[in-house]
Amino acid sequence: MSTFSGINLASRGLSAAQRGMEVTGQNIANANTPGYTRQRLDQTEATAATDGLWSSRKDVPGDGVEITGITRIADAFVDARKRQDAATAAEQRTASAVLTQVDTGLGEPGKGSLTQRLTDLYKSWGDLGTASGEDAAGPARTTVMARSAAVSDTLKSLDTSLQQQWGNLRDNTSILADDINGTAAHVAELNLAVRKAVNAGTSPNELMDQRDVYVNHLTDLTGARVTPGKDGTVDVYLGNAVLVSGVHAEKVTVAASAGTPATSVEPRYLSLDQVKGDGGKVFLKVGTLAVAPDSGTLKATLDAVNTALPTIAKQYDAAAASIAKSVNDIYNPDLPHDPAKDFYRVPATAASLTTVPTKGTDLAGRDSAPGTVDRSVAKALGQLPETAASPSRVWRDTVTSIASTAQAAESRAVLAGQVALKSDAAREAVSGVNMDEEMTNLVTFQHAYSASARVLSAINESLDTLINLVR
Amino acid sequence: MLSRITNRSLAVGSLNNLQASLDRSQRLQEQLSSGKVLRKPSDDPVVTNNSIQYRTEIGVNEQYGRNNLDGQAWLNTADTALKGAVDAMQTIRGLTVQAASTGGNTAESRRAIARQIDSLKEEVLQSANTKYLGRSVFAGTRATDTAFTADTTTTPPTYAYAGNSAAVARRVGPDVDVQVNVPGEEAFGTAGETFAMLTRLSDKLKSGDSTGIGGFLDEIDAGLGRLKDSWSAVGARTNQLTALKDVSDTRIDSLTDSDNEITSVDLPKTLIEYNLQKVAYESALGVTAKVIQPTLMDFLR
Repeated sequence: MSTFSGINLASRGLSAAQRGMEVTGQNIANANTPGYTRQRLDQTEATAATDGLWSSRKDVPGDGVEITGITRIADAFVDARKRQDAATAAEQRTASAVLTQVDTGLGEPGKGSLTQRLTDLYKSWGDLGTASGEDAAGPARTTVMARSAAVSDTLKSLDTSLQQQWGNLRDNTSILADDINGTAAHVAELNLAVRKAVNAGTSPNELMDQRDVYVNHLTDLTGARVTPGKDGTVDVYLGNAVLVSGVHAEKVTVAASAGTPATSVEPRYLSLDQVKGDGGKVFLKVGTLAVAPDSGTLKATLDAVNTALPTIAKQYDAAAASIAKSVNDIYNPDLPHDPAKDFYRVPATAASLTTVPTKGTDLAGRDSAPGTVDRSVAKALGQLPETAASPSRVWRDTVTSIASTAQAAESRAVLAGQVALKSDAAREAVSGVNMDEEMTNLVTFQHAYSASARVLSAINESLDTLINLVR
Repeated sequence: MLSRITNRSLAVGSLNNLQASLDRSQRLQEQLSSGKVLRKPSDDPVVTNNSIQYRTEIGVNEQYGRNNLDGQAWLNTADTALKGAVDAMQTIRGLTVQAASTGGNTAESRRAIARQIDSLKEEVLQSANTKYLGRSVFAGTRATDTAFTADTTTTPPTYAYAGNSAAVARRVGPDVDVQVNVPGEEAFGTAGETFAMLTRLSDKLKSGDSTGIGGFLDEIDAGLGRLKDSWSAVGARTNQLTALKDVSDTRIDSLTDSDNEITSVDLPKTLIEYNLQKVAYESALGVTAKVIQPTLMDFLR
């Protein structure tokens, strides 16, 4: 036991309190930094030496305080749940946004909707049905042609906007893949930095926080799974492939195939029609391995490109075909069926609904017997909405089906958003900075510092007294 | 475990709640300014479905109304024509009675009566060939310029019916088709019997032979009877159409009401909801301002 050991003890107390204030300062400074995880000073009482030349005796206290490290307060389970929920929320949000765009574009029920165009078409047939002489029938026929064109145009514009939306989403997959590659590279770099810090014995806390921000972005995009690796690094798995392994990041590429047997296609040349009818699809590859993301924005985008929008396009096509069929069945009932006498060409897609007659006069002579003007065909077409084969009924089913799907997607998105908020709050509860707590800590460390200083000055004074006594 | 509350979680939580509140306000505001409950079909697929159904049915009923008015116009044309024919036939009957009386009638005066009857016959023929929008109303469904043709190259002139007996019907209600035409042969006799009879009458008068003129009165009455039957049928159908027009008009009104009921904003209700929302939002703002402000710092000297 040395005379001066008390000074050493006081000095350790001073430096521990000072470090404590620094950690508190770091917490306060980063209270609003996204992804920041609060830190805590770990300290323990230093034990007096128990052996050797200067081994202590029972009447000697410990050797003050010792700093063991700075801990990052995080709960791996809570963090993982937060990532997973955020990824699900991102997926549902994107899926809902895709359907909402389609749904809003329908314009139902409204003045510009297909329902209204169809109603106008029936009316024009009805007017032709009641047209008495040729003076009235001529304009009525022209109106029928114009209204039929309006129906075709409305279907075509619905199909065109669907094609555009699909094209944008197809291109988005590549943009998202670039984003993933950039982010994965950052994760790998920061893994390296963390490993160096750990090996050098310095604190990797801030580096880990930064890395986790990138990891969270990766999971938002793909729902990737994260497992801790060696030396504070993390590994990221996408589907059944490794995306980041320690300090190495793999590259994700977007690929597409179409036809039977499937042949690979440049993704940006793939068309909605190919996906709709030719088994085409867009998928992800890590290296040469095809992978499917578990959730996240990219999964929703791929689902929209491969499933959701092609399904809607098929519904449009079916509606167009059904309109053509119900009109043709009345307009050209004769057997054997001669397509040249049809009113509508049976369309391959919703965009290709066109009429066989090109002008009003082509419609003439549609009566039950030559020489009469009972206009039975036009009359029957005017009564089309009253029948079970009403095109409006088919279209109404289509609209209702799209609307219900969009509504379900929206409520899923709202729910997933709330769940994500809750798990974010849970993470915040563990790792967030509470100002009151930090202020309390600050006051505590401040007092500890003052008190340690007081101890030092007391020892100083007593030594002073001792030295002055000798003089 | 009591969860730790941090300043940031308080701030984020408050912000999210404020956002949700603002979103509700915006939804109500959009409804108020557009007057529509639906912003897009998925807001309520059931309402969308019903609204499409209502609108289609409104269109159908509007077309019933148009068909009905067209039918009425057709019938009115026939009505005027038949009235003219009946008037002419009644005048002819009077003239025939006059000609049939033996006293005071010279051959000269009978010829004068015959000429009058000739011109009245032309009037009846004109009525029989009346057109509505370029179409003969008494020709059935046949596309012909005139319902009755008169061949004047023969003596006496021969008459023929160019039309057919088919019905011209208008769809004026669900599965309700009302016939709006009277086939010419019903009103003017088979192959224009009325005209042939009038020709015979006129020839008889011109011949100076006064016997048997009274016998034509029965034939004239038969012709008049056919016209009056047709005329009353036209009147009855006009009444039927007028009544059915009321039905389809009422149906349109009730369908429009139903559509408005489900797609239009209930103004008082929405306004009250909006005000409640505003109050909720403002109090949330006030509370948030008070909650996120204080920390221990405010109380440390």
